[in-house]
Amino acid sequence: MNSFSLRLIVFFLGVVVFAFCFAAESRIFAQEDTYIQELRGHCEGFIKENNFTQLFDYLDSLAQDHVKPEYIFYQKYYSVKGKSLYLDYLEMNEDWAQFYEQLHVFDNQIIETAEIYVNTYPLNGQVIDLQYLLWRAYLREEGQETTEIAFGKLVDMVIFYTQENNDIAKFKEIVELISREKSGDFLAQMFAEYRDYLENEDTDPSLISQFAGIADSYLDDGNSEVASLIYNQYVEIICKRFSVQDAYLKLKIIADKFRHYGFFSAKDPGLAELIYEKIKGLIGNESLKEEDVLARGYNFECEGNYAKADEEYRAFAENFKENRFLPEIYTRLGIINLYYLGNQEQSLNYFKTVAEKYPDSFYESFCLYRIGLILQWKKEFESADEFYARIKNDDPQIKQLAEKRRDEIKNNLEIAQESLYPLELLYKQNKSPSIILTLKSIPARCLINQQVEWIASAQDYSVGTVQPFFAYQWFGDTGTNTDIGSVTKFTASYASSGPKLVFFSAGNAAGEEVVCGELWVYDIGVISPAQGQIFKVNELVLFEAGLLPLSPEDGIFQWSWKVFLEGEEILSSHARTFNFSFDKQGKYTVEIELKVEDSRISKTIAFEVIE
Amino acid sequence: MKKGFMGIAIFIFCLSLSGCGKGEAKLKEEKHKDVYLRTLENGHYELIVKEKPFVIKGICYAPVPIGKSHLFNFTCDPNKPWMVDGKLMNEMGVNTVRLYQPGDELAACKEMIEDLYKNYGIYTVMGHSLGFWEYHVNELAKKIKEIDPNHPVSLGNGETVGMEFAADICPDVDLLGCIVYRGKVFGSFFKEVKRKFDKPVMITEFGCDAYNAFAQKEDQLNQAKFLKSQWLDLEKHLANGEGLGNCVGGIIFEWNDEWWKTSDCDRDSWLVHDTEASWGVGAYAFDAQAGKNMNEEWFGVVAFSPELENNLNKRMPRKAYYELRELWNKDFWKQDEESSAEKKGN
Repeated sequence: MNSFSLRLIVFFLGVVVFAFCFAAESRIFAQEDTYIQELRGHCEGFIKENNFTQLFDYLDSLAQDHVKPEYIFYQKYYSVKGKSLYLDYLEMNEDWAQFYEQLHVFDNQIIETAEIYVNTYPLNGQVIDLQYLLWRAYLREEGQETTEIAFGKLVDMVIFYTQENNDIAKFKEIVELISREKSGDFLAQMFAEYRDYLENEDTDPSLISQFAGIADSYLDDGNSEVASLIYNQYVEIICKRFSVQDAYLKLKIIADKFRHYGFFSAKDPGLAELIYEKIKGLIGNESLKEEDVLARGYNFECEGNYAKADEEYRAFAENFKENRFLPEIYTRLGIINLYYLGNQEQSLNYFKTVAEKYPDSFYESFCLYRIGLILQWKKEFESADEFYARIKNDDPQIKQLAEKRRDEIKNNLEIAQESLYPLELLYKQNKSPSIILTLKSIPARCLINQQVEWIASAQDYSVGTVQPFFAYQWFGDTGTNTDIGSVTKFTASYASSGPKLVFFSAGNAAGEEVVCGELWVYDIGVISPAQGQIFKVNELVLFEAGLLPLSPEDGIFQWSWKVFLEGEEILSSHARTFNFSFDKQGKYTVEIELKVEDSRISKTIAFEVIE
Repeated sequence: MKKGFMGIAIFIFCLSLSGCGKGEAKLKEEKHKDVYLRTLENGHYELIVKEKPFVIKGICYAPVPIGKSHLFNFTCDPNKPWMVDGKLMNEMGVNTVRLYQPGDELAACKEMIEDLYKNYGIYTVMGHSLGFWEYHVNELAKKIKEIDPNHPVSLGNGETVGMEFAADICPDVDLLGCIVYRGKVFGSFFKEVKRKFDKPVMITEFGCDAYNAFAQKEDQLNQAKFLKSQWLDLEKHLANGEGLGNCVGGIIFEWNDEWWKTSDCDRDSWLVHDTEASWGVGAYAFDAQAGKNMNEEWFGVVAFSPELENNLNKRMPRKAYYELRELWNKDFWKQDEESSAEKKGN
């Protein structure tokens, strides 16, 4: 055999040996995967069925000796996970006897096992899970220091893992688990540390938008608490990582999600206010838009922070001198100053501003009446009568009240108790410092004929739980409910739009206090077409509606138009305003529906198209 | 809260300890007595029982079965519910029960008190509503001491209402017992007591109901949370704690649900676990939105089941029971583990 043949044989032998070794190693690798896969499959199956006894028996049956470390790791992982989930299961099913019997035993075992692996095993998703389960065990065992240390380590692990994998999935998973614990403080801590990481210029910007995406998903699921915690951090990141203009736009969008609108509960007005403050710092007072100032002012007003609301509304009046919302703002300033800030003279000025500068506005009658009432109370009868006389017939209820007041002046009578008494109580000397009254309507803004609930409370904070007896009275515009009695809540609806003021008093032998509540009622105001208006065939018809009175919160309303000709629907639209021309003559009707949250009202207008 | 004890009703009761020796109870250290109140050097107060500091870990006790009313004399119940409850209480760490009144059968009541003490080491606080006699509180306190000089006499009161007057006219009262429902914590209560009536205080009723009036369903989690928070707050004001040291313990309202409380005149309603609430406390925030949120039939740390066990309504301890056990009998789970280990070994 020549040397070449020998070398060839050796070569082929080498290939065969190599192939054999490779195959053997592949088989071993496949066996490892199979073992872990099988173990996972069994364990996850038992967990899914809440079959914890079988899970523990299965794990106990597995070999512990002469087994690869990664197999042991997974056994221990499922042992820890199983025990923690079993405690959760018992808690969820309120099996307290069993829960408390196992609690400390299992927690000690979880802690003992997890501590080993989180400190020795290379970081992966399962190690993070173990750290999470370890934290929960410490939390249940109420070791404050150990809990804090464990949580800090969990956060570090999650952030590092996110960074290394450039993937937020694990972060999201852990957030979801912690949010189920309703551990707001821990979540806040986690988000704050994650923010530090995202603020870093080197961090991928896509992680920032993913972070906001997590917040949005919680908001969509109705969990505004967690969303709010995330956004609290996100707004800080926006200010650092985006241009002023981009940051401003993003901040507005978030503030709008959380602020008061009045028609439904605000999600987190405190967060909204924090954002308004940031916007102000970002772009300066001069650059604030009308909707920013109005939103902030209304936010303060709904929160009962009337001094701040007053400040915002005055700033609005100062900076937007030609704005269409000024009649409303001055009316609000009048109400706030008269009924909340105890500033009668200032309120008079605001009401007079509406009466003099905006004589045909929606609020004219309301303001004229208040001017008259204040002047009559001050015994300036002649002036009072002049203002009452100016009230037009457009608001029959106010007109009727004004006529009563004029009769009183004419006949030298005192103002009727139900109208004067709330003012006297609001302005009396020696108010009780310990009696706190609250009054609100739910919602704070509504549509006409919508059911509203007025809820009040009275508490004397000086006497603890054994509260003194109170007799309650209601004054003011209580809508359809005119016979209320000594109760702390009632429901009503209102057939006319505009501001409605209600007063709640609570009194006993020691004295009486009063509080004012306001409700703003809205109707559909159809600008075009007018009732009975006539158009020509093919003439462009403007369809436009709005709220009456005006409201800056356009975005939350849904409009719906349906146009009928002889009972047949021929056109529909969801715009607030649009144009259309009709090629057929006839008598048309249009139904306009306004919807906000679950409330809706509608109006029908008839018009004609002729040749 | 028991009917008839709303508002500012005042009553007197004694701390009654079976098997204790004779002696006068005064607010001083008197080593020859079994039960007395002691003022420490730092001005804190302690209740001493058999020469050891004693913190009252109590529970109001009235095991009225489902279908009966407050007129049912449970001390005469041949099924002896206190023997079943006593065991559970003992495991929970209860060392005191409060009875609102002895009932007509004094011998039966005495037997129950003796059973609780001898079998489970549980003491009894015995009370009685004064009604008209509230104007003679100090005279009654003196009279009680003439009859029984061995035990401290306490003035029971709703909150701290009227305490500044009581301080002047009731010098012979040794300690104050107050009913306090202020939510998760007691707020300024201990400070108010210190200011108005500077003597030791025990809270003779505090607690949380297990019904969420807003969600309209049972809510064991919040009940447990509130009771735990209340106890931890109270603990701060025990002797040598971080607070004022004027508290000698507290008595939770109450051991079991009482199904008669919504209407003591309507027999049919005694068979129903009514969810009506007759009063409200905003500080119980989890269901304050309901307005009236104190569901009187749901204050038990133990629920009663219509199912019978040994002729008694089956006792169903709530989460609150176990949370309190964690606080009052910290090592119970170890005893449990040891006994399980022993059983396994056997």
